[in-house]
Amino acid sequence: MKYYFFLIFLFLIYCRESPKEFETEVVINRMEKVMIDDKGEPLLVDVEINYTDCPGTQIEIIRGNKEFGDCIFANHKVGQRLKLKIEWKWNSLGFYKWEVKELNSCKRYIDPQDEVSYDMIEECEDHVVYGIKTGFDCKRIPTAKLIEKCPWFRRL
Amino acid sequence: MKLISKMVLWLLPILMLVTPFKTKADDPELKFKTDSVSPSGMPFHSTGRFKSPFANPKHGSPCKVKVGFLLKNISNFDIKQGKFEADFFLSYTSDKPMPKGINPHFTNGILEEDDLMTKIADEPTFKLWKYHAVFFMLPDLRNYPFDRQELEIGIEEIDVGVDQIQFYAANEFTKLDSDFVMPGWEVHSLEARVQNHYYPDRFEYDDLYYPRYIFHLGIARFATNALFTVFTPALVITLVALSGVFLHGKSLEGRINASAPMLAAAVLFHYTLSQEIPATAYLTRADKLMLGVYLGLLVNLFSTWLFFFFDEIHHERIYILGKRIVPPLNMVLFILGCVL
Repeated sequence: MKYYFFLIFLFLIYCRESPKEFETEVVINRMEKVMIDDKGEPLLVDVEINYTDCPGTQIEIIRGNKEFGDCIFANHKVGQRLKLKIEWKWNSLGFYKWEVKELNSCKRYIDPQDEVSYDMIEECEDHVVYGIKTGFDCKRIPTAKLIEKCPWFRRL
Repeated sequence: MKLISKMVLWLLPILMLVTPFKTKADDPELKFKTDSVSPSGMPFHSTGRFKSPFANPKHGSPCKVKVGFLLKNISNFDIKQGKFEADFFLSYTSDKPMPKGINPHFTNGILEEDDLMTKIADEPTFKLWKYHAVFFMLPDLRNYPFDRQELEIGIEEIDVGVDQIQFYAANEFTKLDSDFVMPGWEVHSLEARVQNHYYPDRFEYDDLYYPRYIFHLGIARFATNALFTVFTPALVITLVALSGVFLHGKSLEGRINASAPMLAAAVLFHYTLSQEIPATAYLTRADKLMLGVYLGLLVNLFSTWLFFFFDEIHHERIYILGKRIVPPLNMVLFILGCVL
């Protein structure tokens, strides 16, 4: 009997969902050659993408290497709508996280030491007092509505 | 010539000491451009929406100032003192030149040194500052250790009123820095709002409203950490104390040794928890949990004391009833402590 409790305890501690892949469409807000070589070719690029199909304002800035930059700048431009491949998996910091793997056939290698890529996931609404807009409130934790439409934003 | 210059050099300091040194700042007529002075000596405006000497009836329509805010870092967050330090950029962008002397002032904080403020831009329609300042907030610990806190940063213009500038919270320019992290806390929400603040009269004709911008950062403790640092030790204490219930009345010493030290451990654990937070007028969730644990442990001890109150012929019945009643009662009390 006591072994069952031990197994249940282990299950609760280590049980995780397996990694999943998602596909969605995004719009490119901005493309920037962060670092260039002597010929002006990109060595490091930043691409700002907007998850327009998700409720709220969901923006992510992803950094990529030379290969990713060459592909992006050769084939795409700002304002274009592209297919995105995402991998969703457990992060050792204690929550699930998504990673952009491919942007419309441009494969992205993710450097484990990348500290620059970041996301601005928020759902904002106006703060109204006596019928007058006095500000805004933004939720930074993904809501049920956001997760339903875009499940890769789920953290727990 | 030499004699004259010597005389001037001797007389000049004497003249300076004797004659009152008057600057523009000393001239009361130039400090406030008001058109009237009350019998008590208070300058005020007889025309316009506000009579306050800080008003400017000739300004025309107020400047619409978009306030931008980028929070770089929160450090030294001390929940016991309700204090934290914040590093942030603040920007004002207006549709027309802002009045001179724009100087943001913190409503719930202090700038400990002037060096901790950097004025990056000072144009008539665009201003940018970087601040590192200390702020104070009132923690809400009702749900501790699952509490959420709101870190507030209030910014106000103290001598330029709403007749000259109107703040607007700009969503597109209110962000957290890309590497923003608060150890031990999860960012839950971001809010910004503007208010027109009215002070209770500080002087005669103090009727001016002042524009105020308030930024809120909502943070929450990590639930996993709260569960394992508060609820798990409390559960372990309860379970260890329950082990004594299964000992027969002949092993009274063993029964007491299982429950009494756990009661002491619970008190010490509760004391440690209470040292991390300020005194409150209400019970936190952790307090309620520990009350449930105390009651459970007292029930446990009472079931052992019954062996002293009744004769030996009743001991078997006390032992069997104790085994059947005390553990479920403990669990109920523990669960009530968790949910109430």
